[in-house]
Amino acid sequence: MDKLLEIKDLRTYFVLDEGIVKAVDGISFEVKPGKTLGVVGESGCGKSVTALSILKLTGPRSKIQGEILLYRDGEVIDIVKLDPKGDEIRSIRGKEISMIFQEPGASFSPVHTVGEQIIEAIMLHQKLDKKAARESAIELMRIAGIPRPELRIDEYPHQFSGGMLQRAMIAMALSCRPRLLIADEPTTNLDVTIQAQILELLKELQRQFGMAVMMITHNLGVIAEMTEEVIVMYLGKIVESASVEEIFYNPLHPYTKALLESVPKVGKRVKGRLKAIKGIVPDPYNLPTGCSFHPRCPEFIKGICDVRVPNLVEVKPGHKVSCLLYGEVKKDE
Amino acid sequence: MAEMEKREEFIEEVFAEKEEKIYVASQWKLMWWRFKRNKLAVAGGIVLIIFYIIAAFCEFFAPNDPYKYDVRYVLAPPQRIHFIDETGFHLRPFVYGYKMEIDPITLRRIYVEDKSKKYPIKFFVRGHEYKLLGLIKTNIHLFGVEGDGHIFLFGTDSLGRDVFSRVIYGTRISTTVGLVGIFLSFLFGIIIGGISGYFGGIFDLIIQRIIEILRSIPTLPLWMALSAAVPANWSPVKVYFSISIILSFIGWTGLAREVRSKFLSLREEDFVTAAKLAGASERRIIFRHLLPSFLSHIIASLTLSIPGMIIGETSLSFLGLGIRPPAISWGVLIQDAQNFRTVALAPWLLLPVIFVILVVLSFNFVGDGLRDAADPYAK
Amino acid sequence: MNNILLEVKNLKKYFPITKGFFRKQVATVKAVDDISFFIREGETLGLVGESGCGKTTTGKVILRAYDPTDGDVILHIDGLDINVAKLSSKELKNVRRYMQMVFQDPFKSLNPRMTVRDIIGEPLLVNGIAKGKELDDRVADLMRKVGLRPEYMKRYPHAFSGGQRQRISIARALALNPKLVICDEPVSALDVSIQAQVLNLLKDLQEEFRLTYLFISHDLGVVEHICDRVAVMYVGKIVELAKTEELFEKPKHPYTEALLSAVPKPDPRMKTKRILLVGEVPDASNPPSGCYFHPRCNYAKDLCKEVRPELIDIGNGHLVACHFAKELSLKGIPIT
Ligand SMILES: Nc1ncnc2c1ncn2[C@@H]1O[C@H](COP(=O)(O)OP(=O)(O)OP(=O)(O)O)[C@@H](O)[C@H]1O
Ligand SMILES: Nc1ncnc2c1ncn2[C@@H]1O[C@H](COP(=O)(O)OP(=O)(O)OP(=O)(O)O)[C@@H](O)[C@H]1O
Ligand SMILES: [Mg+2]
Ligand SMILES: [Mg+2]
Repeated sequence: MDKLLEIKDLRTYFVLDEGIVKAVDGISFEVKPGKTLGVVGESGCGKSVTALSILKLTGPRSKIQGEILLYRDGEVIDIVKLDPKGDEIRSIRGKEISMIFQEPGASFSPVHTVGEQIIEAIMLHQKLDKKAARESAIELMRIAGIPRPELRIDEYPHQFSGGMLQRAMIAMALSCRPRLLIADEPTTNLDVTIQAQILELLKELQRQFGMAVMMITHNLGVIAEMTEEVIVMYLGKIVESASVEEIFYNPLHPYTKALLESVPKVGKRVKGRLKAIKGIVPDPYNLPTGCSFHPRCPEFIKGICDVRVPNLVEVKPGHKVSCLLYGEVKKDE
Repeated sequence: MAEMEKREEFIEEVFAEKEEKIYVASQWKLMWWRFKRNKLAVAGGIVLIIFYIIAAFCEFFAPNDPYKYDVRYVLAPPQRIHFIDETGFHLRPFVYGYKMEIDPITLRRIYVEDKSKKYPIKFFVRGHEYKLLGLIKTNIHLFGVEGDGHIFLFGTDSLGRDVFSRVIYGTRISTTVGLVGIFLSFLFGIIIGGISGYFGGIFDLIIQRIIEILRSIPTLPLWMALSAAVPANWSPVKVYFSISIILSFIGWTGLAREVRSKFLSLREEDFVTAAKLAGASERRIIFRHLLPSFLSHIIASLTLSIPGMIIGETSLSFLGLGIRPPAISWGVLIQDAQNFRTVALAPWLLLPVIFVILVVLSFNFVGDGLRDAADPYAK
Repeated sequence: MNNILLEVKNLKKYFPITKGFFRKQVATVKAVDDISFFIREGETLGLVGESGCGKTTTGKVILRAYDPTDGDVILHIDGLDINVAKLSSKELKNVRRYMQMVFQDPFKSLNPRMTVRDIIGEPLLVNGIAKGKELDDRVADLMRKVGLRPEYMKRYPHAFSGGQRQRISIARALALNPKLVICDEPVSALDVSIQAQVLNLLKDLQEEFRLTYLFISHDLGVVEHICDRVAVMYVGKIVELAKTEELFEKPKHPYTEALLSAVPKPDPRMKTKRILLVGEVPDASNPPSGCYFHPRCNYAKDLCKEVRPELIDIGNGHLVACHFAKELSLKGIPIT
């Protein structure tokens, strides 16, 4: 099977006064063309940093290691090696890979109209004159489900509601027909009815354009509904990766299991107490030894889990898990 | 028992004990830690402490009597401090006496060092008499020369007075005369802004309109009018002092607005609602919840407004509207420099400007540091 | 069946929108517009709806954090019927302790400048219940109840994570032994793995102290788990109110149906067709005519544009505000 993007042992660290934050710590996965990959995990586990690393947008205080291989027309580009301000990465951003953010408000400048900003994005990558670009922007806004786009194109971001701005963001992200769309919690701040509209829109657009989507979220419902492959992250590492069916019906990692059980779901009423995961996500500056989930793990084995670091092993075809209960183990280095 | 166990599972073990200190640190501690990290602000703070010590004990720090004039040394340049004479190096510095000569061409007085008169500089010498802090009568000065010698580190002015001593004396008035006014503005600002923001409604409406009217009054003409209106027999410092107090009655408006908007936004905060629901009285809410939440901001903006006051004094005095001789302030000293073709003839008369800049900058650095540290909870 | 603890009758809260130099009123936001419901003792009533529909405002008006524009809030306590909406601020002080609130954002609801002891102890202190050593003991007790170590009493809120802060907030609400606790989205701001901890805690405490909850949320999964009955709000009005199972399985209002179908189901095999609503929640200062929901409703008829439906009981305590509640057969979510 061909690949679009392959990530090998990616590490993104932030060097701060308080210490080093290992926001992403050795993850590997791949994205296939036209498919949807889901990334789940709690706040702070490194989902956004993974996405930003792919576009080299993590800022000057970060160090990225590993490989991010983009397959384009038979050639392979390692994004990690590119200059974050260079021409090459800029030709990839937007054109090959584009991103929509959790806070659409923060992605638009308040002093320009929404239209101007979409038009600029279009003209950056396509050789169109202003008029043609405007036409194209209106068309994109229509596709993104904004009613009466020819009027709304001249409005400012503050005149848009949250849901509409998210649509405008999607229109902008689609302006160059990217092969991969990274959606970083695109619906987290929206109401369920608006969320449903956006999710349906994304599905529809994916059908039309055939692009791959990397869907970052902490909502298991969104994962179940939208994705085909899922990776589960905890503290900068992948703890489990499998097809969506496997994740929901045959989860292996204690964290995945606990996460699935602890969330109250519509249509599945739990009598009495929920199965909660004990403790809290540890502070990124002093991570636990061994398996980083061990202090909260219900299946913790003393002397093993707090000493050895598990690595991601394939326990059955297409299903990888990083837990000492399964497969071989690696000695703590 | 089972009940208790259920809860035990939640009890967190993850706190590292070494970080305990930060967990129990109050707002002011957190602010201090943050302030300390700003080196410029700390340096500014040290400079300010030094200046205020000088202001308090200016008589002790000044080697000469700033009012004493001496026709023998008119517009004498700053004296050089020497360590080496014909006999070699001395650990104790000294100055040579001045000998006046007349330039045969320009017919101007020039001062040359008189190598025969050597005055060693000593610490804790006896000089003119004064009262330390207005209480203790003494004549000890930090440093100086003994006997009939003279030391003019910054030269002398047109009446032969020691500029260095005058700058030291000027520190007192310049750094303090506006403080009372500022403090009053601060008080009015907090009280009136607080009423406006906390109670809202009709109070707010009226106060906001008054503020708008007051803000449209230009202060400079008002200042001129007021300085003409105060009794003529008042001393210049008293006049200045009273005017700055009168002006504080209109100077509070900016602060009041700031306080009001803080109150308005804080009043809606959940923790304030929670206190209200707990049954806390208005007074408790204001003094326990609201004021502490923005006091640090107010202190920072207060610090940042002091340089304005120092510059204000300097420039008003320079224009002849502020403090007038015989009182000594930095503004008065700079005004002296205005009367001469100073830059050419006696550039040392401009030295007080450096002090003004130093103090103003220090206040700004400290103020900036405070402002950055003011909200230690911001992410 | 238990006694009724709280009755809300025709409650209204309007916010004026003002403009210009003299603050002329140019419009009114009808944040809560004539709502009525009751809560039984020991029960959890859910309040769901989209952002801005007036959930928080309802809670705050009941607690008199805001003064109501009109209507009654009657608290039945110890044989007395107290109309909270009509109390003077002096009388209110004695009633406050029966009703407390847990807020949504654990980072805004605790004063960062006070220690945990002062935060949890504040209700006890200001009501003259305890002070000094006794206050310490009471606070330690409360902290144990919500699963926090009493040794952390001297710490400031910045030492705690979101979930722990929410526990502090809950401990403060429990300090005065309230009857009713209004939980305003108490878990929305928390990490998924922490949500369950807090929900379990709320359930345990309810059992232990016979608490009554008004549980505000927009997460239907959470509501289904914790609530006995659920009220659905839309633009300041209640459009449907029923027992949880009934509301989820057999919704009678098209808005409820749409809301239920919009929730992504955490089950990859359940590929259901969803009912998409067009447009967005109308502006509360300028709502549509007739039934507020009609512009987005897939079943709207001419009648809906003109006449605003009343909230009526269609049997078994199931209240709906829709002209066609009896005729429509709407799809819910089967609960297993
Ligand atoms: N620019 C940065 N500088 C320093 N640390 C950062 C930076 N960006 C992220 N981090 C840290 O990296 C870790 C991972 O953050 P990330 O934003 O990827 O989390 P996330 O999984 O997207 O969480 P959320 O669900 O809250 O969006 C966090 O501990 C965060 O504090
Ligand atoms: N203090 C206030 N002044 C003016 N308008 C207000 C005020 N508080 C709320 N509103 C308005 O009242 C309406 C209802 O707000 P409310 O906060 O009750 O909504 P909500 O249902 O709690 O929403 P969310 O889910 O976003 O918390 C909104 O239109 C809001 O703008
Ligand atoms: Mg993120
Ligand atoms: Mg709310």
